[in-house]
Amino acid sequence: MTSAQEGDRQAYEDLLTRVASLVHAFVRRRAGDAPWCEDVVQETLVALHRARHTYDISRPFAPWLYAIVQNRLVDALRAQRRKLLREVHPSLTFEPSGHALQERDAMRADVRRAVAGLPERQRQVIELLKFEDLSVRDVAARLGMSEANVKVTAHRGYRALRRLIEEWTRAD
Amino acid sequence: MPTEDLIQQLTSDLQPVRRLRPVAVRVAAWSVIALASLGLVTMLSGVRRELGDAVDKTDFAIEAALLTATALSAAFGALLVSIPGADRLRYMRSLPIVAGSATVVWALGEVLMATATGAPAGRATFAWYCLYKSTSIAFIPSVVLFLMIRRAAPLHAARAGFLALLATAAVGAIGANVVCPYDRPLHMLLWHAAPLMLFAGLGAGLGTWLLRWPRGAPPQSRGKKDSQH
Repeated sequence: MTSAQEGDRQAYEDLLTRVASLVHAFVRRRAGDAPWCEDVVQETLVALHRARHTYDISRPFAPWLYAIVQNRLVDALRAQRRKLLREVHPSLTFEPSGHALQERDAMRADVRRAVAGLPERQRQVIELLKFEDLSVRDVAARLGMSEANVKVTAHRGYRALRRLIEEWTRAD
Repeated sequence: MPTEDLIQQLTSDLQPVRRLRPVAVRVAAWSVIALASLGLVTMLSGVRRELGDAVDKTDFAIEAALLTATALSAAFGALLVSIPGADRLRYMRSLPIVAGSATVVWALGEVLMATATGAPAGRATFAWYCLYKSTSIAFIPSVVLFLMIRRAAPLHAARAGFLALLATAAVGAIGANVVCPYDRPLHMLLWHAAPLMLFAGLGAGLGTWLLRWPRGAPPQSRGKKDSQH
């Protein structure tokens, strides 16, 4: 880590490779075979990269690393919990008719077509927020924007979408 | 993206970084700023007339000692909690809380003692002047401490914010003790000691908002910004 702080790329690559396997094993032990384990590993690597200037060479590396892993893992578990709470149990949902399904599919296709027609940034933000179900914070991190900017861009995107869909409805 | 690709990306993005200075050194730097702010505001406001007599009193000395202990231990804790894995010593976690609570308990004790002995405890009047002065003193040290925390990696944003404003509120309270001539126990409790807890609570909220970590752009889009560390 000391070499990595000084800019030694080879040492850093070796370190990250070893850390990735350690973190993977750590997350697996706690979360089992959850599909998001690899996401936690990657988020830990990114967090480690950002926090590398905080590592004190006079202290052991493991507590520093595992504090970051623990933090990322807890965040991931909270996100999963929120996601689970949003989902409705299948037994409580009613089965839509064939016609309703067709209408829903058509509407989905329309929305996707409308999103595809948005300016690049608005499209990216809405796709990540709504289709990939990422949080504002994750979208901001992914696109290199501030959270406020993500919200403003999304808002403008929704407005543009509304206009576009209203125009189509009138044309129909 | 496969993890191997991410590692490649992070490696290619690597720039030398400047390590954070030890927490004790950063606390010392912050203390200088806090003292400067305290000195400046008290100089502009003027110290209480009978300060010379007040400093000879045991009460004043004990309050000053408790507030100084709260300020230093909370600032130390706030900076420590912003370094991953560094806040493992339990006594370091509890010291600022113990010192801050002791300040409030001491002030409460003074009120109870005055009530029990029939000495004048003062009235529960509004004293915005004290709050305004202590906030003026605490403002710059608060901003500086928040910036210092943000430069690190505060995994526990609320705790870091709580400790940061506890530290700066203690500095503000020291200033209020020096500026305010009204030292009746009830006034000291309500307007000098209790705001510590109020500000600390506010700090927890502000910390969640301003100190959340990690934040900002991912490494692939940060370009050369890393060299600023």
